[in-house]
Amino acid sequence: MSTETEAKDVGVDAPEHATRTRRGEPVTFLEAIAEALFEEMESDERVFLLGEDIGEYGGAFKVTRGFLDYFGDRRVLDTPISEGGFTGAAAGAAHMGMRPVVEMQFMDFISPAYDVITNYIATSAYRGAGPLPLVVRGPVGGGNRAGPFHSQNVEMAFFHTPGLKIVYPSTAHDAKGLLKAAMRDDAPVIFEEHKGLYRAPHLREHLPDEDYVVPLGKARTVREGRHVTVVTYGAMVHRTIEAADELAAEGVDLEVVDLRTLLPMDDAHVMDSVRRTGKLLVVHEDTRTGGIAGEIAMRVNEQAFEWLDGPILRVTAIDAPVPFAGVLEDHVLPAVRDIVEAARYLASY
Amino acid sequence: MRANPAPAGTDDPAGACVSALARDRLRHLLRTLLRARAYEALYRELPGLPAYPPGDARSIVPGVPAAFALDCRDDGTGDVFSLRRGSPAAALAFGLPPAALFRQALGRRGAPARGRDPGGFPTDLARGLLAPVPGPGTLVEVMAGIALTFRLRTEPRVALLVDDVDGSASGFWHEGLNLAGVRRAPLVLVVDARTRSPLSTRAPTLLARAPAYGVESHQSTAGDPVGLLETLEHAVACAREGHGAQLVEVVAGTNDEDAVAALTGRLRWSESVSDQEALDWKAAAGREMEEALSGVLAEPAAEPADAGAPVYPGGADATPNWASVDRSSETVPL
Repeated sequence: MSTETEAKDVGVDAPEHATRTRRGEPVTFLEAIAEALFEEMESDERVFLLGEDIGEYGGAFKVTRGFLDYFGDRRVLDTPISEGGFTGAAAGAAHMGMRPVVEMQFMDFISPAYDVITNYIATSAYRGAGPLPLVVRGPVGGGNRAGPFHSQNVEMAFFHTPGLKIVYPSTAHDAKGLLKAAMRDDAPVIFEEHKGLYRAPHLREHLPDEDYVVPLGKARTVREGRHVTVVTYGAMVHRTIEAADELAAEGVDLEVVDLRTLLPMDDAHVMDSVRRTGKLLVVHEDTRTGGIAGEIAMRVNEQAFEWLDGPILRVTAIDAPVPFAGVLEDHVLPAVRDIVEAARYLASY
Repeated sequence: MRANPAPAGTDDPAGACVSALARDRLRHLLRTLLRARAYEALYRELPGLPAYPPGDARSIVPGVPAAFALDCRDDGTGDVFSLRRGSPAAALAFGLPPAALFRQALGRRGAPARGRDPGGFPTDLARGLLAPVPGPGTLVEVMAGIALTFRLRTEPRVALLVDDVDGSASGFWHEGLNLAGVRRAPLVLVVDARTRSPLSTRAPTLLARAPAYGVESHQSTAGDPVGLLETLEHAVACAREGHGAQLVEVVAGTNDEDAVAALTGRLRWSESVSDQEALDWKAAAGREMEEALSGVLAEPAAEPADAGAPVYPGGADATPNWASVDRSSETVPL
């Protein structure tokens, strides 16, 4: 730490991938996240980053490439491999008025921090110890042949913990706006980024020039339809749209709702859609048992049972760790054909 | 304003204190220890309080001397103090009114926790107090982050945590101290090792671990409050001066009563306090605590609605039970 620097004072250029919108260029999902981090760090000195290899190495996925040179090592902190330790330290910094953003190199590694997140961070405001405005973000999801330790979705490990917010964007626009909203929120936020979306060419888009946020807790109707509501989020939004395109040729209209924020969930948006279509299919990449589909089904049962014209179905990963071999992983994770078949069945029910 | 002022000078008016600490400071320490003991005595008689923390773990030493070694300011610019399971009465040394302690312990609606957290002292960051939590080692991580913040902001402040030795066996303890060591964060970790068990560590002393973390270490006995305070003040000074994290092991002490008696004896020997004055202080402390408790008992207790309102800071209340929702306006479509 004797070499702590304020690098931007000596003329270091801003990271190119974090400033594309300023130059009028379209951005990928990953670049949208980098832009959110960069712009919030520029506008709010309380924001700083900590995590494994995020500084000199620029992060495992290079989200923070160039940040160390630009902001200096008082704002971008490489940490020891100790997820519990640096997440707990982020809590301490938040107590002192900072707004730390913790990067999990892979969200699979958040489990060592489970204790401090659920027992300490999530309860702080409730215990009267003050709000802890911090974000824990990182890559999730399968499809990369990365095996059981680098492919998990972690939302349901935290979903039942009051005091946390959980965000899981599906587009570059939402990723930037939701991450900015998360960094400005006074509650601790778990922010999941599907690594399959990071550099997906079809997600590259022009973002608004002006500063914007996407409010937490608000779902979005991605596609309107008459026959079946499909509630989903993250990478499954795009598979569901593929399924909807396929079914449209058969005259079946799917209404696709992207939750965007899982906790707190936008119940009103879901109920409004279900009350119009009378059919509900939930799609998520996470495993089936204890998945969020069960919670959504129960909420619809409580709030819109009378409007249902069929059973509530779900398309999910099977209850297995995510395997490495391609043929196995493809079998485990939900596919477009699974969504098509379930939605077709519901539409004809 | 500083609630726990440093000595005005190094002169010793009494001329006989074996410590270099000023006479007034030691008198202040004794009065604070007596107030803390009066609080604990009254607390133990209260019915219906949670079993945690257990009575035999509620030691005012080293908590009170540790709090005393810090710089407390009520504008939020001073040091930050917490302790895991020792006596919450140590917060009195940071200027917290006894009523605030009783309010927290009794789950009164006026407490910051509003009956949602069972004990310890309330978080009061303007004074530099961070509420304790029971998880072994968790506070080492959190306080390391507070110290790290001071380091990043180049503020001459220190985070001090009094922890129990059993936490030293946890991964959280290791990760917190290691991070503070790596980042040279001004964390002072005071471990009350009087109840050290071979189940916690085979090391003969916790100090043996310090070189592995690259942190400075100190040791003191709990039975000598003056020596303990000097050790703690030295460790705090080292952290403040940029030496990085400090590990302080408190060993081989006696109980609180003997520690207070030892300090009283030293002050009497140096004619810094008379027998009558010590008795008067003790009686005044008892009256102060009785009055504080009486006032808090008259305050409203937490109500059921406090359990879920709100769960998020400034946000919505917890989801109500289904049965409590009015559904009379809903119609069933046919």
